[in-house]
Amino acid sequence: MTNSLFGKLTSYDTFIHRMDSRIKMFALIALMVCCFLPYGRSAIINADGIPEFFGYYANQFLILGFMALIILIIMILARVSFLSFLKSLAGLWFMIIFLLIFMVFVSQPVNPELMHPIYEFSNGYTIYWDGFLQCAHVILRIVLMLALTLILTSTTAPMDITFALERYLTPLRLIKFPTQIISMIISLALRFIPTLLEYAQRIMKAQKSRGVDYNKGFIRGKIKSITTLIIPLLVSCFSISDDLSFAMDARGYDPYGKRSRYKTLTFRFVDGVSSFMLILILGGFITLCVLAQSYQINFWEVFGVSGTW
Amino acid sequence: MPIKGYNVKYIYNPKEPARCTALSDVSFEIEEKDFLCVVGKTGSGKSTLVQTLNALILPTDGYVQVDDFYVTENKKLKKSLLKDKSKEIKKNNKRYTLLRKKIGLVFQFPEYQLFSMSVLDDVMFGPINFGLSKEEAKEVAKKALNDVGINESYYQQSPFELSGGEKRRVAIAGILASNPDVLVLDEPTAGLDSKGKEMIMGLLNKLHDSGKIIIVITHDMNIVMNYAKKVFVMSDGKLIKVSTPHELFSEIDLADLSLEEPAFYKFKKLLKYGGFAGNLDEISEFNELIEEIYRGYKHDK
Repeated sequence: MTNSLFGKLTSYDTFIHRMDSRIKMFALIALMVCCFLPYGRSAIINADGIPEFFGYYANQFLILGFMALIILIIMILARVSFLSFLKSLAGLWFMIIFLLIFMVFVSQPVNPELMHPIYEFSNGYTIYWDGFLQCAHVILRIVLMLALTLILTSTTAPMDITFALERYLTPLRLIKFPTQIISMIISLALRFIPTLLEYAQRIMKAQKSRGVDYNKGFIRGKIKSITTLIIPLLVSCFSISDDLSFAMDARGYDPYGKRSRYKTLTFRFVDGVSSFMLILILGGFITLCVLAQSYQINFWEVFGVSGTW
Repeated sequence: MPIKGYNVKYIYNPKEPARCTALSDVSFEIEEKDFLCVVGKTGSGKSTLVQTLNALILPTDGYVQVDDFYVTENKKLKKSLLKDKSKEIKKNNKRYTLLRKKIGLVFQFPEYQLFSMSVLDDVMFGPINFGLSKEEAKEVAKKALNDVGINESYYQQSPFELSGGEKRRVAIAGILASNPDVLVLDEPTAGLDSKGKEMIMGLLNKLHDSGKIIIVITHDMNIVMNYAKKVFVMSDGKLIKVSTPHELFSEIDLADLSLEEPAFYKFKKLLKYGGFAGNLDEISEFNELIEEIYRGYKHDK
């Protein structure tokens, strides 16, 4: 938990830090969409009538690798520590194990003839290599998504993220959707992430003083020690939220009142350039998607790598 | 069990531009039977310093030595310190659980660390972690609760139903139950009324008399005057003075440290500036001051 960087703004002054939060928010969504576009070709049967192993994923991994490179460059430009990012991914292990078990052992294919079996049990239940590839593919997408979120949260103040969100939610006001309340809730939630992390650290230290070792033990031990953190943290949360609501009331907060803005977001030259770059990147990825889907292009061949997989 | 610190340095967020040096080259010694108060303005490094004592944070450089425990993040230094030590000592220095049994640390507002369903369970939690059986833990927990003035009728109550002062006493009992040799408390009286303050400080005094080292971080100079045997004065991450309370109040301008003088010393200064001719410099107790005033009065007469 202490390694988590999400919600913690770094104090560098890069051009990504200075960018308009609306552009950054749009970039986050656009690049996430790019991560989830299908770049793979349909299942390919080679000349011997055998489905090509890695056929679908060949393009996917290449494009996602390219995407990872772009994200890495953005991380370097935004001075987000790559090592800290890797540390913050430590908590993904549980998810990886879960996905691996689910995709390799539980999910069964719709078209088994296109898959590559590892072992077939006597009752017909089969484990496929493709499950591993699918798992790696999902994990890669999640890691890229987390990296993008990390870049946004470590280069943008929580309040700026909220302003951007509120701006994007504005059209919903036409159907009487309470955008101001939603954005206030989100801004408070974002605002209190670092505070709660601090609380969590303090509680962890206090429990360590009472002999709790958060690194020791397996699942049961871990659950037991986490309980010593979660309960006091929840109690603190309720206490903070109570105090906060009273403080807001005391200062005349009216959720339906008309509110002015102290800080207004301005669109500058750097935002124009970044928007242009973003549109180019988005257009590029959509083109790659169309090329792969409609024309069944193997992108590896563009790099001179060919043959069956 | 003396505690020594050698050039202790600690930096928060060392790799970020917002890095903050909380401790710079702090060297100190805490002796057996010390009742130590750590004072200084907010952000001077008091809490950071005491957290290095039981390895909740590891000094970026320099080290703290408690018996055979060497607390530092500097791997090279730690390796050299543990070079000729036994396997057991090396093992103990990997995880500091045993050190945390020796040095009990009560954080500011410790009531926020309570989590169990009942008061007794919460106090038993520490001793069980340090290896006591349930029955033994129950015994020590009852004793600790008794010491902090929590009677049997509270044992099965939820700790969340208690008042602020009661919660704090339960939390302190939670540390006391582990029977640490050194008790460190970060502002134990913050937010308590005068009766609550007296109760907590009386308890600490009793524990000190029983042979424990007590370390208290405080902004309350009356506590320093009435209980401390030694004072560490911190400023901007540095230990600027080690003194007795009397030296502190006589020699240092407390306003510079955003601290308020105790009423006793304020009164002494008023007498001095008002032209009182008696020798007030050496006086550190109320009775002596009364005698001196009486002597001066008789002399004038």
